[in-house]
Amino acid sequence: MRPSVSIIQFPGVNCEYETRLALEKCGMDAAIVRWNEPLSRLERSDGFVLPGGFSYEDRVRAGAIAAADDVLAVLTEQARAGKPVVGICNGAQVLVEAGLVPGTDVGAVDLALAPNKGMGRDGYYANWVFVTVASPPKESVITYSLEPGEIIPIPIANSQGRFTSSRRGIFERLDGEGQVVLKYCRSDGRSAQGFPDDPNGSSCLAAAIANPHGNVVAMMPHPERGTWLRQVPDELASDWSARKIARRGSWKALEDFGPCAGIFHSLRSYIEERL
Amino acid sequence: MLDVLVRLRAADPWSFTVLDTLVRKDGLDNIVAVTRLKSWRLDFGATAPEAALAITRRLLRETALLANPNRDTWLVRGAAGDGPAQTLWKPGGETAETFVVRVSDREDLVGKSLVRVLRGRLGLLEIVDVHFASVWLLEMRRGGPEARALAETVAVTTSWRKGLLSNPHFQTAEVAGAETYLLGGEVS
Repeated sequence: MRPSVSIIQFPGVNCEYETRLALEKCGMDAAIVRWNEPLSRLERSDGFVLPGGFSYEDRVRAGAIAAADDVLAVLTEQARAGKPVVGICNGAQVLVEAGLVPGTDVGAVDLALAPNKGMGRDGYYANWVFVTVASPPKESVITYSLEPGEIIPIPIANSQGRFTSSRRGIFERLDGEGQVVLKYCRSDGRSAQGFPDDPNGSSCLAAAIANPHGNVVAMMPHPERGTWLRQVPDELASDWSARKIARRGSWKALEDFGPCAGIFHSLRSYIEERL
Repeated sequence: MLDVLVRLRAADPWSFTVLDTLVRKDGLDNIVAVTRLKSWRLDFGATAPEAALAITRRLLRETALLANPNRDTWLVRGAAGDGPAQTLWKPGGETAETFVVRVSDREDLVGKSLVRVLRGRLGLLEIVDVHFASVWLLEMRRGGPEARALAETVAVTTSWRKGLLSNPHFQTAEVAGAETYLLGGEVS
């Protein structure tokens, strides 16, 4: 039986349909559930995705208003039961504002996703970047099937994607515990050094952070925008562009998996093997 | 230093969203109204106060950088007043006491962007710095120390459904009485 995943649609999100297609492409059944539907609908889901966009128009701060919705109480309970909860971009901001990530003390807001501030550049940035798998094998729901050190080209699109905290040493601790699961890197996997490889000035080069159990993950990049080969740009400094160009002319071949499909395959494997 | 406070002339959905979150979701029924203002603090360095005020008025009159007259109303704090601050904001009939929560980013990228425009493009070299902040007016049904403590709680997010208006990991929040904060301005 295919795992079933609920995609939570807050007012203002805009990636829910492509996220559903990506989950289905990777072998899961996915349903879009509006934030104000009966919450009992969520209880039978095997996992949850909070998609990207601008929930509540980013009023007050990105993710802050959605984080106070009742649906977050349900997700907290479901996460406590071990089910996966993945926040993508705005979804990541919601999970951080709700205190589910890093989740060392569940509910405590220990991090922020602050406005981007790179070396000589700030503001909104949308492009393909590279991330590397930084967590040990099978440690997190989004890297479950991936190898440590694996390099993934992936799109980002945000203006508030800088993981930061006023708590001294927290990122070193999270990194040491394997909770920084994806890090920005150069195309050859070496550490990113400044913009554009490090697109937002994130502490510890963090692109995705998990809770201590690995089943709740806040990730700023958009894997649903790199799940199909046809989504890969021609000029990427990666084998993926060559693969895409080689298949040009065959619509069917371009429907093959893209570089980010492994993230959704990880979610499926995690559900099938752990739940 | 001159502080330009800007408010939407029309009803502000952001304010309604914050009120809805605080009252309906968080159960803080002592809060009866929320108003959002933008604050532009213009640092004129050694420029004489009269000249600073004249430049500010010209900016408000001839550009839409600080406020758009089709959409916004504004008040210049710290200037000799020729109108009552209440034109910008009036407490409702149920309100016993109002608090101001002023939220700013520690790294003020919005202010830095504006100062680049003012100095680099408009040549206003008298302006040495700009600080942007969101100012939230919280009207309380019952006043006193408990109301102030509530405003301070709402000001800073510490855990799920505790605090809303700032995230302390990249922002600061100051709480003050609204009457004191808004006194002495001029209104457009």
